[in-house]
Amino acid sequence: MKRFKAFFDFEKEEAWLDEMSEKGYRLDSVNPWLCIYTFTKVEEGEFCPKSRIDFRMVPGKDKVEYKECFRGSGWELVYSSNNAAQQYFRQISPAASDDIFSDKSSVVQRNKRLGRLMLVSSIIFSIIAMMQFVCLTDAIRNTDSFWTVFFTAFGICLAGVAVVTLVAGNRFLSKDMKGLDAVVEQEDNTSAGDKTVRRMVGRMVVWLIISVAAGFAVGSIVSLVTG
Amino acid sequence: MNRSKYLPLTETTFYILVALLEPGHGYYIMQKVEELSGGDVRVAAGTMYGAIENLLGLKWIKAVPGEDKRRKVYQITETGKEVLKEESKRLKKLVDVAGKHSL
Repeated sequence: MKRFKAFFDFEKEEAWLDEMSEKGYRLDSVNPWLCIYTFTKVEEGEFCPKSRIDFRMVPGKDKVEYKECFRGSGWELVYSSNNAAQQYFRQISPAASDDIFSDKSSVVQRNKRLGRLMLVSSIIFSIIAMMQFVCLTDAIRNTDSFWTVFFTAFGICLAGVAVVTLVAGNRFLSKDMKGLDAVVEQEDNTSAGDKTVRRMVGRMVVWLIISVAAGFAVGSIVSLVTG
Repeated sequence: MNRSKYLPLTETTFYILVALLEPGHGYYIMQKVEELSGGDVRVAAGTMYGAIENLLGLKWIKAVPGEDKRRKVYQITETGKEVLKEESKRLKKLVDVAGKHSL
């Protein structure tokens, strides 16, 4: 059974996955980009695993160890990608630990990683929006109506995305603060070594350069063909 | 270097550092922590992996060459030991204060 559902909140997503699990639907695969979840209904009385989400960039060379840590406490990967930070896990057997996090501060850190990443993405989107503004003014100057419309639409989309990621990122960061206050728990001071945001930004910059290069290549081919 | 900003350590961090006085890989640490704490502290995988990354970043632990290249083995560093000592001193003081008030 396939289900389409978009979430902007790990806790809500996990709560929904728990609900599905209680109804006897086992998570088989996830496409986090298209927000598509595939479930299989388990037999009556059969164990139905819970699913949990980690948000962390794990370099390929560390994947084996990462997976082993989880496997050791009874969790297996359902979705993982080298280009994304979302990691979906499900329990292997009833003997698995109840959750993939054993303290509040690691849940908070997971949400903070996403929040920080969104703020950084927002800056990157704003930079692209500004860059393409140069193209837009150029198109207007050349009274090129196709590119004027194209760059205006593109610019509006980019600005929209930048605003959404800024607001959502901010919400993730502030929501966590509230969570910490609520449980009056000691904050973990050792989160300085977190590399997810750095790795993810590196990945984004690489993709950005590739797409700009591809854009130039396509552009020059088109201008060659059309003379 | 003023390390006091990292104190107090969480219970999980403290046990992981103690566990890594002897070298071990991720899953070994999880088992060792449970054993050291007499079953009181069970570190879940996501928390464990995050803690390793954090402690590596702080240079309190380091990866040491192991037999299997894909399975990293970690060990506490000198800095890590200092932090452990400082934290133990802090904890001892708390216990002393409690003892003086016949707790």
